[in-house]
Amino acid sequence: MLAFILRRLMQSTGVLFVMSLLVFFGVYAIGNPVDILVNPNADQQDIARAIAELGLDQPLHLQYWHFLTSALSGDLGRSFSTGIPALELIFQRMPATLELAAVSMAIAIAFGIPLGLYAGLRPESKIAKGIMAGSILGFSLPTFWVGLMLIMVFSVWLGWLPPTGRGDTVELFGVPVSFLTLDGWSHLLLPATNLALFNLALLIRLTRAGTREVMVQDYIRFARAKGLRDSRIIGVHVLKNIMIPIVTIVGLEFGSVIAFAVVTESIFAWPGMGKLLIDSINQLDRPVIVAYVLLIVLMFVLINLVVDVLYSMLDPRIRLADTGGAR
Amino acid sequence: MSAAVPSLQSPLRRFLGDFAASRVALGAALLLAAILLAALFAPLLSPQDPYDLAQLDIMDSKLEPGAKGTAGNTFVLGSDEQGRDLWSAILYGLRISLGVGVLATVVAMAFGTLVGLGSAWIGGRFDALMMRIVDLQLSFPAILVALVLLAVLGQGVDKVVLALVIVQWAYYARTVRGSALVERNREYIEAARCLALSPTRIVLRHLLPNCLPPLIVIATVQVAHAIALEATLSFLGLGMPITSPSLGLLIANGYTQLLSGKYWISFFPGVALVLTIVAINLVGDHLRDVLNPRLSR
Amino acid sequence: MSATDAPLRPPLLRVEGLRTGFPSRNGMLHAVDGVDFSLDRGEILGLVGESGSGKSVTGFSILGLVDPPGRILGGRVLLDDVDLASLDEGARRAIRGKRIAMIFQDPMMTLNPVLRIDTQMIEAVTAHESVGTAQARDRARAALVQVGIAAPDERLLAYPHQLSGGMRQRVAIAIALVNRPDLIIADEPTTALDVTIQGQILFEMQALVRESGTALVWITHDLSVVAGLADRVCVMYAGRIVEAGPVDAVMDAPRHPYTRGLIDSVPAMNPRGRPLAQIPGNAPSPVDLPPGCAFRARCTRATERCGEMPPLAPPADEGAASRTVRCWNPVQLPAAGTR
Repeated sequence: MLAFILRRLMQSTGVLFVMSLLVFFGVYAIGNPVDILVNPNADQQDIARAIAELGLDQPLHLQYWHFLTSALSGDLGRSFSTGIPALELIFQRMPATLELAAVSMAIAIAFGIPLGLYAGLRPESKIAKGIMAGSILGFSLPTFWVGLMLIMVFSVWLGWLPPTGRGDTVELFGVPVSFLTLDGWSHLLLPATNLALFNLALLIRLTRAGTREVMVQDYIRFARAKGLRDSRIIGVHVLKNIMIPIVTIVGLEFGSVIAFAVVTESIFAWPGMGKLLIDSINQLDRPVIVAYVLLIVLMFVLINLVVDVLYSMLDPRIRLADTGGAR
Repeated sequence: MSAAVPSLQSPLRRFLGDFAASRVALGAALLLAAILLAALFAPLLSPQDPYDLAQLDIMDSKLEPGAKGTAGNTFVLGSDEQGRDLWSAILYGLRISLGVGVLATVVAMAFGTLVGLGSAWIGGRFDALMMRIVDLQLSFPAILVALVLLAVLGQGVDKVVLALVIVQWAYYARTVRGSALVERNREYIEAARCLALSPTRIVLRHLLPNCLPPLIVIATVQVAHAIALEATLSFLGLGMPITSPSLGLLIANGYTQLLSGKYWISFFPGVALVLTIVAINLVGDHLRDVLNPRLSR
Repeated sequence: MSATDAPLRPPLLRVEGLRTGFPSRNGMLHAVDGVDFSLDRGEILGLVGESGSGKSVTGFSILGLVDPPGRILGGRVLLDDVDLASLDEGARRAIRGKRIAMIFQDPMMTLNPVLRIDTQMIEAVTAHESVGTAQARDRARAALVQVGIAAPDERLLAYPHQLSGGMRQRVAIAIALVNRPDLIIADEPTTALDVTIQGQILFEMQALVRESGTALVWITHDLSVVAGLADRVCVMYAGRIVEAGPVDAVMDAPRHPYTRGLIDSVPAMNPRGRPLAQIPGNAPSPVDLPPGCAFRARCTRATERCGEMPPLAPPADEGAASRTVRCWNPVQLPAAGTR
């Protein structure tokens, strides 16, 4: 197990290294780094100072070394528009995004797995067919337009929920969160639902396919021959088997949710890092963009790593094969 | 085919027969055909040229669907802030959305197919490197890659197409490589090699046609993805420039009016977008079932 | 052996006119089409037939485990004179695994790959009795010992993929035995195993059921297995029993032409040097069975009368009523009067 984690850790470091190279070349080699990293409103003197400070007059490999060391020490430059260090700015916004992503994932899981399970157990029923038709819509409808329609119906017409903002927050371990206040929930519900739709559809399909596949296996029939109750068969024998792919996808999709939060946050003016990215792109605040990209790459690599480890923990066949268990 | 039941139908006839067997797929195909025709003949179907400022009257601004304008004309789907007829704007927007989506998909398919075929044929290090790149890219969501690319590249139709190509090519490369690797070991390729045909000829004339069915299926679905992605990017203000108002831009324009209850400026372009995407997806889904029964769920 | 005390107690299991079908595009597919047999306590019955003869479906039908859309169309399954169809699903569930256990063909597929052996054994106990986990574990351990598994504590903590095929089948047998059932239905449990292991398991299985007085229905396509194992044998063809009787009598002097052909085609049962006989033709499709005897198209003894379905009855020239055959023109007894 440890050897496995170590090996994956090394792979992840490799990916990070490659991505840092890509970002570096994107910023330094393809574009003009002065344009990207120096405030366009700066005067000639500032620019000269920045060039010297960033080492842009040095050879490329030294520049990369400088970029890498300062990135590793958490220095990704300062925002042009606010002057705050880019990383700090992103970290301020990160809790809001993570909260939105987590709640949306929870919604997708809480509805997706039971609905998929039902559709998988009774594939011929009318309800199951309805569920599946709904999941096709969930895949096809563009997230941003669904977000607009949610605002139109629930905020404008019905007036039940506020269309934008984050609402009242409370500090939890020093981090502001919305989900502990009623007002926070009312602000959270629409964007989280919007963000959840795609994964809800995905989980329904995945759970249904997995359930159908598992239900015809001999071990399910054997479990029934043992006289187990349906609740035990479905709750343990079926669920534990389909959980392996589901956990994998849920884990991997968490990264996509953070990425798609860019869209949802823009619509619902949710003050997360996705909205920060769009604002930064619109303001050409490049250090923030670079910092966001590096950070999201890091997050993706970490998520992939965690999912792989979780996956191997869930599936005894992999877990034990790796430790050289009795085979 | 079994000898006992000689098939008198041509493959195409059989294909069309299979396809038409599903009423949903047939409906979707008809809808898609209607959408394509509407986009193609937009200038003929539109009551006004929505981007000829001389035809717009600011007095007609934000009219409700069905309202009559100052010139006595009816705005079937209402009008936007500048008094533009939404029905016309949607037809013109469809052209742009479909055009960008199809163009990006075709280019991505050509490039990805080339890489995939090369990867399968050359093998070795080239293959390993290409598949690493493909894996790396596919591990990031398309929306993110596209956003970052556009942030670096800046705005413009060409840049949107480029970004869509970059986020798509990897799918084709991987798919084509997969089926090419399978086909490569088939006897007919062996036979072609024995005839000492040139590698280019073998790859293009023998290998490629046999990799086509999965490619067509993916391309269909990818057109829908490309259209949705372009709309999303345009909505965020990072996609098409205002001079090329795609459906996404139309929806974005209506966003500010939405909170004051003027839903139609965002709603109807969205409906057009959704119908297009759903129709393409349904056709693609069914194409997959027909072209490859093994893949059907 | 049990024929003498049969009148005193009702048989453990009685299957009467069982019919099970699977709807298909070409109409109902009658996999089991009127099967009757009965089984006493402690008796071992061999249910023999080719693949597609309906023998496995018969086994699943008894337990009520026919996969939808297949379903039991008619007939009765009586356990101690109680019709299982008259019970509700909860009561049927209480019988499965408790009074009637089942062992499947492929040991690689019958154990859940993601659950440990102890989980899968303990749940089999706790599904039927409210005992503590520790007690259920002891029972599971004892069952593993019973089926000859060394180091049972270690095996309990293992996952299925860590065990060999033979070991997994032993675990499955232990699971079947753990609740001391009255009846075990074994659906070709040795077919997927190595020949050496097959013999071991067969032998052990026989010893186990004899010892515990458990009745056993052994479903197989292999007549030679049945010869050494069972008390009685039922031969199935196209969803029906065509011949039934004490195993020695049937093997020595088959009366149905199909049984005769089956025996002649088994190498081990033929005298050396004699060419193996084949049954001409193929088993008929169960979708469009012709009326009358299903075997008649392949039968050398077929006559006009075979267009009418023969009953499963004692042959006219047979003394013992325990033998039945479904044939108008049964094979003659080899040398009349020697029995």
